[in-house]
Amino acid sequence: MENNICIENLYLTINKQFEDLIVANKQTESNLLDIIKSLNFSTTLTIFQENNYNFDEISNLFRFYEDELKSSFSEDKTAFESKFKCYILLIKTFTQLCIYFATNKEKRVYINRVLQILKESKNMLKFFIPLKEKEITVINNLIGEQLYYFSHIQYIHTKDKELDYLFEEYYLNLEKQLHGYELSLSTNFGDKELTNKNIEYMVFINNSSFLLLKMIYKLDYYNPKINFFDNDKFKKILFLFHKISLSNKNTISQTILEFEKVLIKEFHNSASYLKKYKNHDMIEEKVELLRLNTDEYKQLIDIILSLKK
Amino acid sequence: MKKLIIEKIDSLPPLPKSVLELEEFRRMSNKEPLDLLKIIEKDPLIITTVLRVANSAMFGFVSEVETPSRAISLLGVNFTISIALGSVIQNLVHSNLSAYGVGTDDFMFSSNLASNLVNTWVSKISFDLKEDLLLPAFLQETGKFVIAEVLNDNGQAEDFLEQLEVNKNISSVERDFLGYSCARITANIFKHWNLSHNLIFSIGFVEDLEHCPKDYIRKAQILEIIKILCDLRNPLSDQNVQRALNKATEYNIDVEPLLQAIDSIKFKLENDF
Repeated sequence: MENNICIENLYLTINKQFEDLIVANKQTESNLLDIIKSLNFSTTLTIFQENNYNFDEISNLFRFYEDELKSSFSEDKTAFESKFKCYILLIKTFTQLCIYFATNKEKRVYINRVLQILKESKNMLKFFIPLKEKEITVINNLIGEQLYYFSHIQYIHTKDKELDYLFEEYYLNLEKQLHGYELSLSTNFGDKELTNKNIEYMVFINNSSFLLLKMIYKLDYYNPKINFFDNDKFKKILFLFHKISLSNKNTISQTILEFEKVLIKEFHNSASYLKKYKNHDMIEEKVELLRLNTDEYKQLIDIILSLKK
Repeated sequence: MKKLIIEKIDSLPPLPKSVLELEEFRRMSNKEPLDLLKIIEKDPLIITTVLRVANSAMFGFVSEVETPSRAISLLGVNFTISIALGSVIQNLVHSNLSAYGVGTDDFMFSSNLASNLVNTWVSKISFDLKEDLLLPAFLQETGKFVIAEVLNDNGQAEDFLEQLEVNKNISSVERDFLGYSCARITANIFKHWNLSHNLIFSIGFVEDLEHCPKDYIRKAQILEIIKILCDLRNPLSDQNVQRALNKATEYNIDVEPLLQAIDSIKFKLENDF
């Protein structure tokens, strides 16, 4: 890597480009790949070629950063700080790329793989470098965010799976969201001064209610005769959701219709809050996700769209 | 001696099912966290170890990691597998290693060091190679427990240790006393446990490239370098680092990434203690 002033300047320039993209809502695949390319420094890694992603090369890019951070940690603290900022920016860019993947039927299968690489790298870094508390806080917040921002996106295949197994899979995803949210909360959301805690809670509850709405509609689509309340694994999901939902903490739904109403209400309230305070259209975003599998979620799409009115 | 070694191998307890399940899971292209959770939840020892590691200060998770599912969420699937495998082998190896002049903690240190090398060094050579060699590197010294027992039973442990003080090359002393190196014995143990061909061949032909099937030569070369660096008695000693670098050059393997990996692991070790 180049000298310290160059690295810092490079970071400032690329970070500005990244923020401009976010503000202008221009996080297209090619724009994000350009940012990643700029953060490659002088490596010859080719992570994207002929419309294909090379995950080995993505891993190698992170190994490259880990090595750079390890060596500068002991030799040059100023360089370490600049490189650490580039590393965090690289993670954020890949995270944006995952948001893009989520709306693409072919590419959404990449999300899990990319997120695993990011998580592995963050833990490797903590494992190999005696980082300061502040740096660990930043990394742990990103691990947390990754969990409660993305766990609802994964497409759950139902073919050849027992109902119990499917409920366990959804439960694990709900737990992941909770684990992520609690981790980020414990870091005070990365000690960012401007983070609004209510907004983060609303993102979390919006994504978790959406995950469970998807579960109900998908399972019902493939097997309309399911009696959810007869299944203990489903009840675990029900209890966990009621535990994390601040407005439904003290009650437990008694029927699937009642539970569905609770989920829709939580989804709607959080989406309205996020629209008002973050100007983020969660309804549109979620409908876009559902439209990748219109058959399974036709009814749910109609319900969510009706909330807009 | 050969008969004694075979008897020892035959009398080994079966390999815990969790190792086979973890290895099978590790090699799946689509790794469902729920499947990993189901494997881990069956083994209390694995649960304890995974939770202990997840709660260690280095990861900085402020709230306690009290369930395996939370550990998987926070550490990720691959990290959890490495820890889980480590705990299983730790439980398996409770024999006496006094013939080598070391204890079980030294053995675990050496095995974990081997995993670290695969993660930091081999991952740079190729992702597939890293995936293939993670378990062989971690387990390649398992045969030392059988060797130590055979030497103890034969009353040769002291002579063996004395010879190790003179000849720093453990494999050559093993061959002098038993007629086989640890690599061959480990491969036979894994054959006894019906483990995969990849595991048996990659380990079995370390230091025996002449007889090694073509597809396994690169793997055996890399494992030999790892074996030198993770020497049970002198891990990462200057002499062993030099031997490993010489071997890498001899095998036409780029020395620079190896050196970087050694430096970063040494750096971390020095800062941890």
